[in-house]
Formats: sequence, C-alpha cells, structure tokens
Amino acid sequence: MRISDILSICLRNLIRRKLRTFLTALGVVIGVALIIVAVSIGIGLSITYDEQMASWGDLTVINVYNWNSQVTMDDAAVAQIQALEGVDIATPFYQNWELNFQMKTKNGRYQCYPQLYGVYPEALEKLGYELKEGKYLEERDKEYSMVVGEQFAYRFSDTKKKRNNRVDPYPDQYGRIKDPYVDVTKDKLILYIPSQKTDQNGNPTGKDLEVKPVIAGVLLKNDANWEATNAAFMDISEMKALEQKYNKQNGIKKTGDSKKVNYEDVRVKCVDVDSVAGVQEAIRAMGFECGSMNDGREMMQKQALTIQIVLGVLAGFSLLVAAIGIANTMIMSIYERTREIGVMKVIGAEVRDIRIMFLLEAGMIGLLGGIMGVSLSYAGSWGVNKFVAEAMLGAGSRLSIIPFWLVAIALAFSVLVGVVFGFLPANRGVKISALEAIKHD
Amino acid sequence: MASIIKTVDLRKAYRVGDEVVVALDCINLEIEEGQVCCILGTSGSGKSTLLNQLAGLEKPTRGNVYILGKNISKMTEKQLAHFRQKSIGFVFQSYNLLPGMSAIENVAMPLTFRGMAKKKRTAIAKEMLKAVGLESRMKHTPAEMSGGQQQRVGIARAFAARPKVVFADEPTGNLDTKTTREIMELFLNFSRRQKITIVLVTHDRNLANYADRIVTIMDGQVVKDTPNKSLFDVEKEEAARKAAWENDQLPPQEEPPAAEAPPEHPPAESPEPPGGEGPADREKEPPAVPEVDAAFGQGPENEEKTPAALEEK
Repeated sequence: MRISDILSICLRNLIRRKLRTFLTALGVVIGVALIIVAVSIGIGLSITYDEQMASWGDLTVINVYNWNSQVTMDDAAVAQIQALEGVDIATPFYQNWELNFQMKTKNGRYQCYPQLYGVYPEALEKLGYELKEGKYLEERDKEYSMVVGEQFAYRFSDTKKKRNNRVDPYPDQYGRIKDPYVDVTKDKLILYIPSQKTDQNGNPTGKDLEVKPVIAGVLLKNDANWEATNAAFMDISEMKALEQKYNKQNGIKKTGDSKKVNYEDVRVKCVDVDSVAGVQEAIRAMGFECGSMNDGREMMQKQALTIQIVLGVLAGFSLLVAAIGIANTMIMSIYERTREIGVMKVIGAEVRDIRIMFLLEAGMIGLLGGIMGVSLSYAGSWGVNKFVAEAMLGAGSRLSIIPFWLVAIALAFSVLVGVVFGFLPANRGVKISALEAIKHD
Repeated sequence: MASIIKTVDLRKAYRVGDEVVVALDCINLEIEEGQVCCILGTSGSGKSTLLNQLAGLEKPTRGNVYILGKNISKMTEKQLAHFRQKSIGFVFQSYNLLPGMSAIENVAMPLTFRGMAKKKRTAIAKEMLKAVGLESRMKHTPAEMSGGQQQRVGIARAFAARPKVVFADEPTGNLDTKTTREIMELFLNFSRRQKITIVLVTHDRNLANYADRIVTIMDGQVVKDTPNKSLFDVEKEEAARKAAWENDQLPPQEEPPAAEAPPEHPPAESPEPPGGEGPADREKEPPAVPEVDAAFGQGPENEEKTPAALEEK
C-alpha cells in the first residue's frame, strides 16, 4: 500500500471525527504552547539581562572595595590580585579625598573639579577604555600627563556668569549639542590644589599648588562607563608625587597610619566572563569586598532558569496528559473500527499497512496539536511581551523570544509524542483478527 | 476442470472452557475452477468455520487448505495478505463497506492495498460500479445507499481485483427477496464471465439453488454433496426457449447450457429446485440485470478479451 494512500485514509479518519481529533489535539496544543512559551521566556530573559548588563558595564570587570576593612589594600595587595589566575589587570582607582583637585584655564575664567583617578598607566587600555584621540597614559612620558573622558570638557563652568554658567553635552530643543567652553586638547589648562591652610579668620595662608598637565588622550564616550566618559585619569605615581609636593609646600607631615596607602577602589579586569566568579572568590578570601556585574548576571540567570524550569515542568505534565489523551483516543478509535480493520485485513491489507495507519494517525494528531500549539505560543509570547515585559522592563523590551529552532523542536517533539503514545494502540489494532469482519451482528 | 480449492483432512476444534468443541472434522473437499459452490448448513453446523478455513481467516487445527495449489494453512500473515490481494475476493453479509468512503473508493480498496496508482484503480472501480448498475451512485458513501446498493458495491469490490475465488458469507442475509435475486444474478454473471470460482455460504435453500453444486454441512461434516443445475442456467434456458418460441425458431441454445454444466457431475437428482414457490415465480421474470452483460468487455482490461482469453490468463 502506498504511503500517500495510507496518509489519505488517516486524514479522512481524523476529519470524520473532527471534534474528537480537535479535543485530543487540544491537549497537545496546550502542552506545546506552554513549553514553547516557557523556553522562550527563559531565552528572552537571559538575552534581555545580558543586554541590560552590557549597557550597565563590562561583565568582566570586578570592583574591589575596602571600606573599614581589617586588611590594607596597598600596592602589594593589588599585585597579589594581579597574580591571580584569570586576571588581566588589577589597578587602583585612587582618589585623594583630602586634597581638593581643581582645574582651570590659563586665564582662570573656566574652572572645574576633575574627578581625578590615579591608575596604573597601562590599565586604561586593558580595562577596555577606548581612545577617541591622542594616546593612553605612558609611564612618565611627560610629567603630569592626563587622559580625560570625551565629555570631561563639559565639566568646566564659566566663573563670570552667575547663572547658566554650564554647557551640557545634551542636544537642545533644536537637536544641537553645544561645544564646551574649553577644548581640552588645545587650551592650556592648569591643575591646581588650593591650599587648605587657613588662619583664624578662615583666610587661606598656605600656598596653592599649580602644575601644567598635558592632556595625552581623550577617551571615547561609553554609555556603560561613566568614568570613561566624564572623569580624568593620571598615573598614580604622578598623582602621589603631586600630593607630596603639596604637602611639602604646606608643611604637612604624614606620620603613622595616615602615611599608609589604602586604596578604597580597585578595578580588576578578568580575561573572560567565566573566570570572574573564581577571581571574586579569591579576592573575598583575601578579606576584601568585591562585586561585579557577574553577581547580578548569575542571579538573573538563576532566576530565568527557575522560571523556565517551573513553567517547563508544568508544560511537561500537561504534555504527558495530552499524550495519554492521544493513546486513549487511538484505543477508542481502534475499538470503534475493529470491524473496519477486520474488513481491511480480509480484503488484503497487510499488518504493516495497518500499523503505519495508526502510527501516522497518532502522529498527525500530535502534529496538528503541535502546529496549533506553535501558533498559540506566538500569541502567548506576544501577550507576554506586550503586557508583562513592557510593564516590567519598559516599552520595546521582550521577555519572550521564540527562535526558529525552538519551533522546529516543538513540532518534532509533538509528532514524536503522538507516535510513541500511538504505538501501543497501533499494536492492538494490528492484532485484530480478520475474523472480526465476518461476525454477524 | 482442475480443482482450485482443495482441503485435506481439515479439522477445526475450539476450546471452550474445559471442553473441546469440534467445529469441523475430516473435511475433504475439492472445488473446481469456475464453479459456484454453495455450502449449505444450519446455524452451528460449521459452515462459517469452513468458510473461515477456506479463506484462510483462521488456521485449521489439523489438515490443510490448498488454493491454486498453494497451502494457505502454512502461510504467514504477510503471505496471506499478499495472497488475498491477488487471488481472493470477499462478500460479507453486512456489506462491510468502509464508512466515510465513496463507492468508488470502496471498490478500489483491494487495488489500493496492492499499491495500484489512484488513476488506474479509480478507472477500474468505475467500470465495476457500472457493471453492477451503480453509475449514478459512484460518489455516494455507504450511509447514503440502500442495502441492495451497498451489497452491489460489495460485489464490485470483491471482483475488482480479478480474484480467482470469491467467498461470500450469507451475502443476501440482510436483503429482501427481490434484491436477493438481483444480487445473486450479479454474482453468477461475474462468475460466468470471468470464470471465477464462488464459494457461497448460506442457510437458505433458495439461495443454494443458484449454485452449481450444493455441499450440505451438518455437525462439522459434509453430509451431502450434490451437483445442481444453476437457477441462472435454468432461467437462461427458459429465456432462450421463450425467445425461440416467439421467433418460431428452434431454440439453438438447447444443447449449450447442458454442456455448460460440469460434465463430471451426473445429471441433477432433482432438476426442479427444491426451493418451492420462489424459483417458480422467478422463472417467469426476465433476467433482471441485462446491463451487466453489456458492461463486461467495456472495462479497460476487458477489452477484446473473451472469457476464454481470461481463463488462459
């Protein structure tokens, strides 16, 4: 018997009992739709999370903090971190809170407070900060060389104006972005530390420290990295030299604990995402606190997986129930068609034909359910994105993503469920004796 | 003539609880090619069991059944299926058409099982339906047809694959007298035209009168085996005689019908069918289905083929 003929008989049988076929398939529909939506939410969540993370910052960077810790974060400790496996670079992000670093133009009209970090000179490049122009900090290439963020220049304000004395790097109502007051690469700038020494009346008595830094490079703006966009960087040793100079000028002497360096903020760049967790563990073992985007990522991934598993298990159960439904329907159908099968055997149907007939019929119920389930899952996915994702994550975000392979697997699986659970009924059908056909009733 | 069906010491026993019921015992039967053989018996006589054995629907307890020289009792299920596809047709009491399928598809079913292409089998099915006088009902499903029409479809189906033997199990059991007559004439027509052996199982003596031979079964054994001049032949003779009479001519068919009867058989013991009033009434009627004769020879496979040619094939 030709497969096309068997197929046509199966289709007829299914169409002949439309409602039953539909109801049987409905079980599969629900199961398949649930599974697809469950998996799609898992996929969507992890993609959304990763996108979000990437927009928040580099997943491979660990921030090490040392607030009121028993241990000291000095250069030796940083070197120790640097030596850990999986670490690309470790550098302090040194800020001196005691000194009031300021910058101004040569004429003094435009001033700003630079967010000045002292870093290891080779660190910026390795941390992935990209250059817009110029070059990175080089060790002592010139005294007091600095690298600033692309929008650093917008920090300057006009001291001659009382109001409206800043320029923002954002488009105005006409969509234009104004130039800042200062061109950091061309204008001569002065980095200075005003003396904090005062007399009884509060008038400064000490001497300000002024140096002329060279802006070696400008970093490319990075929405995920505030510092690369807005801050200023300096070789940490030059920054310390400046401090000493200032202290000397103002007669400040550091003794005891206050002389010790203790970096509060150290950045560690790992070679890849997978090594982040291990490095973090090692840093914690050293007694420091640390955190990275990876913490959130792991948590979110766990959350996504949990949602996926819960929905998936639910879907699995409903699919199992659907499969039992298919088996039941097939058995009922075989009981009903006992005589018909007997007749077919008498007029020449082979065992093989009859087996294929039933397996195909069960498979087709599965496929039908699968196709409807896929359609339903698209509707469900749209609903999840429209009503849940937009409410939770904002417009345009997608919580449920259905890749093509998921559809293909779901369809294949639904057919498989039908065929597997049609196997027992099919064997039953095959065993029906041809004698059934000539029973008189 | 060669025997097409042969049973050797056929025995069939069923186990019912602790008891063994012997349904058939020591059946040695030979049926010749082209013969219309009626197996007559009351309910419980074992006639249906014999049919099951002959058609290979059940395996015998002992003994063998040969059809066309092949021992079907030793065949596997698959071999049997192929054998049925090729050589056997079946007509059922309750028609057993496949519901949800049109008359054409039902008739084409045996050909479908053989794997014949749709176009070809549909053409054959249409011819067959024409032959049984159902041109106007080809697209109808069984539910849309009367019992008689359904049985015509059943007969068309049985003969569609050009089998060597057609088994019929009380084929008119559910039909009224008039339809019974039409159906039986169809049977005989097909059988005669194509030299197809027919094994008819019935409890109805009237029906038996259409056969060439009546095998009476009782308690699982053949109690009587008599040749019988088919009612069909009788009618034909009568019709010819009548026509000749009307044309004022000598009936030329007077001798051939006698020759048609199996020569091995002695003259019928009772030339008048013992059925009673039924056959007597019928004899007065003309043959009911003349179109059958016309339809034969028109089929794509039948063209220019005489029954003799078919026989050789």
